[in-house]
Amino acid sequence: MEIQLKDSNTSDAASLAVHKSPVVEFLERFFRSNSAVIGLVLLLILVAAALFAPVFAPYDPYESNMPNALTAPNSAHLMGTDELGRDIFSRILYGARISLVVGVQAVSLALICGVVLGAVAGYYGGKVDTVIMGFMDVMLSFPSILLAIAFMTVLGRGIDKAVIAIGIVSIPQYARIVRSSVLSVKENVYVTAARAIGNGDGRLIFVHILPNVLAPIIVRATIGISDAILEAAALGFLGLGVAPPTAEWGTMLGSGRQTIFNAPHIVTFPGLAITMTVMAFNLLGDGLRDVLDPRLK
Amino acid sequence: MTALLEIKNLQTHFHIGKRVIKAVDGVTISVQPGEILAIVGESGCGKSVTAMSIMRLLPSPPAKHSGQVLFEGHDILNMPMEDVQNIRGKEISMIFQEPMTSLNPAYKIGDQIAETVRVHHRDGGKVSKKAAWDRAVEMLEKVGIPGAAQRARQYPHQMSGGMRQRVMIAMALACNPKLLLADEPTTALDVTIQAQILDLIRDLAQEFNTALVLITHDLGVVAEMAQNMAVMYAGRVVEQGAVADVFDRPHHPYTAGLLDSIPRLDGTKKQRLHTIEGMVPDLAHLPQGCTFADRCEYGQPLCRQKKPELQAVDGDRQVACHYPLNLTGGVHP
Repeated sequence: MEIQLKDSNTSDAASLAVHKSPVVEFLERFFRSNSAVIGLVLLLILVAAALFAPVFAPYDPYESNMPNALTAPNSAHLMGTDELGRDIFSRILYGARISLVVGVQAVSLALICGVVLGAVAGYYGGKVDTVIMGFMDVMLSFPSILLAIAFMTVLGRGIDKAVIAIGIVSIPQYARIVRSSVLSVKENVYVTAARAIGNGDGRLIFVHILPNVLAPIIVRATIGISDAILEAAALGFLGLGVAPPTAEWGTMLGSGRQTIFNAPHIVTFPGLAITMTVMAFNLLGDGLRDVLDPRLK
Repeated sequence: MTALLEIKNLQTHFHIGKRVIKAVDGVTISVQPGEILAIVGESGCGKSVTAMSIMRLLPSPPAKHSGQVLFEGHDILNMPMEDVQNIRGKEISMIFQEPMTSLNPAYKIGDQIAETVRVHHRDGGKVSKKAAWDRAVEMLEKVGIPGAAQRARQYPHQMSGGMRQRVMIAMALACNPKLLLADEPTTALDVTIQAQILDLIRDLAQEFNTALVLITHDLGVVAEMAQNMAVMYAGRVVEQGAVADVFDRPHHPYTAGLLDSIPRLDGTKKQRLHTIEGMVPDLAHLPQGCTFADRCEYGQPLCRQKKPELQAVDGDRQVACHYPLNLTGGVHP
């Protein structure tokens, strides 16, 4: 309030202190958003589970114990055992590692390609735009899981290949968002002003335009991680993702489906883990959207 | 004295679909080192497009340039883009109309001023981050921002419009350019701030020995600031000369009309304000003859057939009219 009363010419160092740094402002708004905080807490639990899996896990996730197979949850095995007698709780903890790694890496890959393609298309427009976005539209016209299945068939199984397949199929989503944001941001006078002080196209795109389209990208990427985890699980379930002995939630679901009637816990807990992860990222993404939306400030 | 900037028959046409909009259609202007030249005209007459064309800031297509823009003898319109980028910000700078949106909201203002300095020392004599920052603070002091060192760490949204325009001036002058283009720098500002900003621009232009092209529609500003003026109408320069002479004896009927349209303090109370009848012609369908003929009080048949060229009259005055007014010794029909 004091600032508004003062003449702009006389405002001094004392009134400057009233302005908060953007980081502090962001954190304040972040912690006021319930969904963002819940999402963050769930995510932290997941990250802790993944990081400290060897500490928390009561058993070796790969050690089979046939006499003990298909036991229901009890005090020795919190979530029971699977068809080979492996401890499901331990496997879920280790599975968190794979899901998070696949989610983050696939989104990073999609993000890097999508941002560059979208920014170039939006900035240059014309033929460049038509060619890039035409290609993206072709990719979007297939259901992404179908495209990922096609890639996996070509590439073969494995974590790294799942990352590449899921990353590539989600490029168009990021390209589209970035393109439309760049289209509106590049019309700003400050972009012309930046050009007028001698900046080239590259600096205009990456230094002057992109920082101003970060908000929608961050939100989309956060939610995108949950999509990627879900797709990785789907690939695993179909037997195309991570190869079996590896503790991966989707693969666990897939191998547990034969015994779903006599040992439902085998599919229940991996399913719950996937649900919780997807929910964590969606809540965080929703919260970030509220926090970063300038209209709500 | 050789001219710093010499624009010869500049044409900037926008090709949109099948239509060709002749926003600038034959502008000839020269600017001497250290001179203040005002370009006046109503909205849509091509003032801003002329300024943007000088720096080649218009997206092309749709913009198409022809003619010459000679800066120190080199034609900017025919330069490779890299050379144009070296001129932008270093030799020629620009201040825009909208201070509220001409600073990037994502960066501290100090960084934005420092960027101008750093962009122009990429190859050869590198300027350290610290030196560029110091220069930014020094420039903020020069444009009269108190507490410059703290202010440099602020973001644009933390400043008022007048302050932001000062920052723009600091940015524009950071590399000591030879020419500053100011496109209606005070239109979006409070009346009380306008005079301060104009004084600041004039004083700094003098201090830095920078020539100034001031684009405005305010004849009061012209009288206050400029030595020479060019009057534009429908994409063409219709009259040029020293400000005092043009105000005293306007040769072109349009200039005379503009000057008559200024409200006067000493006018009689009931007197209605003079207006120029009619509308600016459609830039996509310019008439064959003089563009002003339809609105001109003194229009003759010749005016509708033949486009008058800019010609020297009365010594160092130039006018594009078949029947100029107020010629010494001349009698108007």
